[in-house]
Amino acid sequence: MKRRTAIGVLGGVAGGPLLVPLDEVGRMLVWRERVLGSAGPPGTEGTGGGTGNGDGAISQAASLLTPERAQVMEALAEIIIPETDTPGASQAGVTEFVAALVDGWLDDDDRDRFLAGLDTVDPACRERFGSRFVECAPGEQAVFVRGLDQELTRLREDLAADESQHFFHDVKRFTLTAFFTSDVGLDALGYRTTFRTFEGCAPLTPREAGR
Amino acid sequence: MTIPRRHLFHIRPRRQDYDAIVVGSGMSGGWAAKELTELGANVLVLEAGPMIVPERDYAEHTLTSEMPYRGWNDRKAVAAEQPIQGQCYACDEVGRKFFVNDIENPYTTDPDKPFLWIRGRQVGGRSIMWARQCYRLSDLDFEANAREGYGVDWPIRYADLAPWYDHVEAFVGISGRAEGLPQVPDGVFLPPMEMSCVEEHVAGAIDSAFGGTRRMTIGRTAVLTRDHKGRRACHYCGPCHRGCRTRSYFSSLNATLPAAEATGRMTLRPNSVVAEVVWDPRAGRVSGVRVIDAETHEEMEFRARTVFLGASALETTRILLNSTSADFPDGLANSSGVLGKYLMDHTMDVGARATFPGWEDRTTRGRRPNGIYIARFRNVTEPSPDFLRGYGYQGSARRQGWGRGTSMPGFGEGFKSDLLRPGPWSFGIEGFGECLPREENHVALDPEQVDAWGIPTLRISCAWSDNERAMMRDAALQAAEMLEAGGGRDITIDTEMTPPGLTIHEMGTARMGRDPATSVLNAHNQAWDIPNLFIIDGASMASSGCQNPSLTYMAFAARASHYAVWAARRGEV
Repeated sequence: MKRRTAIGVLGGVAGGPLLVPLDEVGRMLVWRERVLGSAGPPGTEGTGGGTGNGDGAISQAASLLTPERAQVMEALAEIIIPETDTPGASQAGVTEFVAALVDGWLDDDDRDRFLAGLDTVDPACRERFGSRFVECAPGEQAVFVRGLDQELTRLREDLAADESQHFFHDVKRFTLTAFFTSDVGLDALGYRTTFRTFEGCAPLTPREAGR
Repeated sequence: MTIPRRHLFHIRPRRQDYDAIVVGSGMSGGWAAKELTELGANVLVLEAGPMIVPERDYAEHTLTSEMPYRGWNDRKAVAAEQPIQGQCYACDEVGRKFFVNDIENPYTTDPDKPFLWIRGRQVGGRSIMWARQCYRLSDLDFEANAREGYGVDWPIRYADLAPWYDHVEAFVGISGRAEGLPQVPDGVFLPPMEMSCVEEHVAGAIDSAFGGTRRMTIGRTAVLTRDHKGRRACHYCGPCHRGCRTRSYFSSLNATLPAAEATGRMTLRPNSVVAEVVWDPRAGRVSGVRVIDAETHEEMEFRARTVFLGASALETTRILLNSTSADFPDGLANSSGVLGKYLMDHTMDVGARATFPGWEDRTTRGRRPNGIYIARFRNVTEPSPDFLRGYGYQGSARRQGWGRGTSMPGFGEGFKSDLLRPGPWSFGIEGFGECLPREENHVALDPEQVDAWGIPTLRISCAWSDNERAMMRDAALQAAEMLEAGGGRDITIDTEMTPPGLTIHEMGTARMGRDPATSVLNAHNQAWDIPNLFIIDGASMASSGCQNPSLTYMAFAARASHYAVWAARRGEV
């Protein structure tokens, strides 16, 4: 969080003093962590499409994303990116993507924290609403997700905290990536692979303008 | 490129010598191959890595649905096989095959001095994944060492290189805009790409806010904005570093090697790891190179009248350090003792980012493989009391994508429809700064380690100095001031310098100079000690400038090739 803290301090840059000492050359591990660790590599968003059906390379039977966890994940994802006039996250294959991350991408610590977070969802819902998350009423589910999102917002605004440690941060970024890199997500974005020319100041399409 | 199979595999040493051996098939080697063969020479090009077949290996249109990790890369495989390479943005889920395996290609550093050596071993080398920015050096750069007493004076001036910049640019195809700036001289340009609305606006604001001393222009890039010499205009798909089936950006594989092949005088041998250059003490010349086949590990020797090293700065120097003899106990062509010293890279990743309210009904259309460039102003039009030399900026302004959602509150229908629309305009710029040539930044052979082919590896010792740190402190501050002058909001500053190497502009270690006692190469990239040995890559650089260096390497490679042929005809090589 060192980097974000520095940015926070410098947030009101206008005219103010900027006496932030540059670090000694970034330590390799710090840099590596930044690039490889917690976020996808830069420049990858919106660069492709997905079938949303997974690629069959992941053994579902062996997955640490058990059917129970997958059910919770899929339900959370569908609430974050619901089906509207375009498909939602569950049709984009979010659970296959998350299973791939859990089984072959996340470091053990991050994986365990994420799974432990998912595992708190049903007990919390039972206590609060008397049933598992997927069996809660839509209104109850929304209330529950709003609570998680608000926890994330609080952590984000607290410069001493790290919202990326909260499992719902992972739920959200996994959901967004699964959806927007899938075929259905790219269709919804109006994604095109090639262009006759580059325009620096083009009018929005009706779709981009939300009309 | 269509290369007959006879050129690809199992080329054996032959009784008859080649006119020239070119070691390396990337940016520099490709130019030597083209120029030498077009001048009539029979050339053997040796490449350490495998053949790349564009129709099979390029992957610029691969969809994320075809990627198990949706573009997030196979990070465990990267951690296991490419922990160094994986730190380069271009070593992505699809493009990482163009980067070396770090386990097969080890090197060492001082524990407290990380250096990231990013390498591509394949036909085309790193010209396949390069970032394509092209800026000329100027006399501000060629005179800097002499003026300030750092390093050694360049043995040439801009006038010596300018015609060769013209020569290579006319073939490469570089889009850009003439600006009349002496610190980054204009070149032979194809039509420029468009700036975005916000870039145009900020360019104007900077011009008025700083009294005309700072100029933002569109990046000069080796990407075609119209059809050029049999290659197609860009189709703005975005990820050039994964290859380009329409050959719209310049690489040796897309342009110079096919030109060399078309002469019928090039023999290209992939999978040929050059272990050393062979010195013939009786002749007082080099006779060829010793090669280890990358696949079979078989050892063989190829002979030629002249040897050109273009294996990339540090690989070239490594080959020379490994080429020892009674005459050259400390490495070939190293009577000066400076071989391996004065390693440089450019500083980067320090700058600022801001959002820009307005232009909400506008966006960019197409994925422009290029950004803007703010020409160096420090110690050009505006002095700095804190550091020598200067930096330029690169960056771009465009509307944020859906990725912004990961740090936004919200979920549900409204959240989704918001993320399906373009976000605010965001403009980030980062400084690329000059690195002083310092003797202590050096490479040497590691006394113990060898690579997968048994060849001794490098120990790299390199760190930024106070001058680079002071320069980047200023670059961050000035970036924020310029974005603010343009009306930027929520300005954030990146102050963390990346370790040297990651800019992938590593250069020096076999520098040119005016004196054989203090330099390895003369004004023609020719070894002072050995008339038939030329070093045509970044190893030859006596100072770094702050400009992306590939264009300069190309100009040097072409110039040295012509000189060598001319000198050979006069019996001087």
